[in-house]
Amino acid sequence: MTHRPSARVLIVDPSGARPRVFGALRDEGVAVEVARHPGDALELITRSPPDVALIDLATADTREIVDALRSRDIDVIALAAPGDSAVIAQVRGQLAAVLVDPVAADAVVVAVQRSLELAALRRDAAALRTEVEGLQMAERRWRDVHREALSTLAHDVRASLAVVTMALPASGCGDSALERKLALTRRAVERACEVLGRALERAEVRSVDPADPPSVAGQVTTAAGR
Amino acid sequence: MCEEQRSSAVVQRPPTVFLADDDDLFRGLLKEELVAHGYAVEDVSDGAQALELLSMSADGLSAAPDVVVLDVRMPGYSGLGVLNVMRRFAKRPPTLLLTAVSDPSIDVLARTMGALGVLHKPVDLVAVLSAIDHAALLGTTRAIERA
Repeated sequence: MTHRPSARVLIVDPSGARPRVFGALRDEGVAVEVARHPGDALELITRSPPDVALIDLATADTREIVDALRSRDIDVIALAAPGDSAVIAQVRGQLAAVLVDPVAADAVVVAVQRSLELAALRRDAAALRTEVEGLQMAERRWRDVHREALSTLAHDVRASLAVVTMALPASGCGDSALERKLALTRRAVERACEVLGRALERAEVRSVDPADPPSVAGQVTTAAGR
Repeated sequence: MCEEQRSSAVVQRPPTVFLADDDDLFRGLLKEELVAHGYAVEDVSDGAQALELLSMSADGLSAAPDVVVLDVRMPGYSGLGVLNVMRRFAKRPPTLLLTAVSDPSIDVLARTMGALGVLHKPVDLVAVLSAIDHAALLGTTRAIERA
C-alpha cells in the first residue's frame, strides 16, 4: 500500500467482530483507531480527524457520524450486513464504498488504499490551489506596483514638459529663425507625449483602469471624510 | 481679460488668483506670468495648505480669491479633494484644475464637482492665461449679478 506514513484510519465498530480484517490494515502500516461507541467516534473525529473512516452500519447514530466525517471531507467506507439496505439508502450518497459481510480483509485494504490515495490527491490539489492563489496575488501586487510606477513616471514627465511649454514665448515675434525653433520645440514636446502614451499603452497601463477606478475616487473620499 | 475690462470690474483691486501646485518650477513660472498680466497671486505648494486658506476665506477670515487654480496631484489633499470640500462653501470662486495625470475621469469628476475646467499638462501659457481670464470674468459677472 502506498500512503503517507502517518495515514490514520478510524474504525467505528460496536461489535468488535472483525479483528482479522482490521489487523490487515495494521499490517499495511496504517495507524488504526477503533471507536466502540458513537460518542467516542464523534470525539475522535472532532479532536483528531482521521484520513479515512470505516463504519459498521449497525452503529447507533450512523448518520450523525457520517455527516461529521463528510463535513470534514473524510472518505467513509461502510461495513454492512446483507440486511442493511435501508440504512445504506439513508447515507448512500455520502459513502466512498460499501463492503457487505462477509468482508474480506483484502477488500478492506484495497478500499482504504483507494480512499487514502484520493485524500492525498485532494490534499495536493488544495495545496496547489493555495500556491496558485498566492502566485496570482503576487502577480496582482506586482501589476499594481508596476502600474503605479509607470503612472507616476508619466505624470512627472508631463509635469516637466509643462514647464517647457509654459516658458516658450508665444508665436508671432517676427523672428523667423526663432519661430522655427519654437515650432520644433513644440513638436518635440508633442512627440514626447505621444511616445509616453504609446509606452503606457504597450504596457497595458492606464492611469485609471475603467473596471477599477481607484486613485481619483480614493482621493475624493479622503478629502470628503475630513 | 484686457486691462480696461479689469479696471471696469466691480472690485477695484487687481483680481486675485489662488494657485496651488507642488511643482515649484511650474508654480513659480505661472505666478510670474500672472503677476505680469495684472493679477495678484497667492500660492501654496500642497493640498492641506490650500484647503486651510480657502476655508479661512470661505469663513470670511480673509479675502476670497477671484479665481482658484488647483493642481490635481499634490501632497496632503489632491486638487479634487480640495474641490470636493469647496462644494460646501456658500460662495465658491471659479475654480480651474491643472493636471499631468492623463485620465479622462478627472475631467468628469471635476466638472461634476463644479470646476470650470481642467487644463492638462503640458499646457502652453496662452491657454492657461486664457482660461484664468475667462474664470476671472465669470467671477466678476457673478459679483455684478449679486450686487
